[in-house]
Amino acid sequence: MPIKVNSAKFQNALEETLREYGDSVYIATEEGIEAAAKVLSEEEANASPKDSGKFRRSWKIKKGKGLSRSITNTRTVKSSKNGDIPLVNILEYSKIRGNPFVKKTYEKAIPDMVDAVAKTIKRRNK
Amino acid sequence: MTDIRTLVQTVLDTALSASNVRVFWLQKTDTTSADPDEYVVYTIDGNTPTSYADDAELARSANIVVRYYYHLDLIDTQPGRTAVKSREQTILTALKNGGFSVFNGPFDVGDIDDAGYGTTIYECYFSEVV
Repeated sequence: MPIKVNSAKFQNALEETLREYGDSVYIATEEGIEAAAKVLSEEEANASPKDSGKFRRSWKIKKGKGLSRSITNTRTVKSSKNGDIPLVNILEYSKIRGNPFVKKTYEKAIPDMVDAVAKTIKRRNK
Repeated sequence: MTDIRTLVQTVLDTALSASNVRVFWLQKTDTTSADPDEYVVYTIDGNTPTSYADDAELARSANIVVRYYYHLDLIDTQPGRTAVKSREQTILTALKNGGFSVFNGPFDVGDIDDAGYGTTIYECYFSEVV
């Protein structure tokens, strides 16, 4: 015999289920985003100039608000006129000393990042 | 299809020529006169199709980087800092009114050419149906 519930009980039960489902989707998505960030961080490191290795080892993932993640390179160099400058800014944007690779690498990495998110969510839902 | 280089040049020239801020494509080429306190250099870093149907290109997006250079002496004073911030805003408004998307807004990258000039970057996109 089916369980009888009134509409208020059903609404509460449904809300609870949706909340749990939402939490689980959120957590899975967050893990997926984390995996995608690791993929990008590794690909940026692989594409980085290799001179001393310090720049390559300076890629960091920072957790932002909610699902956002930022990937930054913390290596700086001394400017002769105005303090420290992030080396990645010089490489990506300088007209004289530049060797841009960050944005190109990001665009190339998009399929791998999407794949990392999908694999993580699938693995979690097994 | 829009000539992106002409569009960027026209949009920025229109906004900046009255202030004698010159706009260059690829690199600052004027070496005869004294270095100006402010100038702009832009590059077109890509112009690729973004959408296809039946093997035909439907839309494309161009990626443009605009660099606004200002002499670092300018930001030693409050009026100078205000002028630089105002110029940044003028460039941003001109680009947006010209149909460019500037998702991240302007951002500082410092004296990237080690030439005594601060630099503000605008990463711009121009999308169009072809």
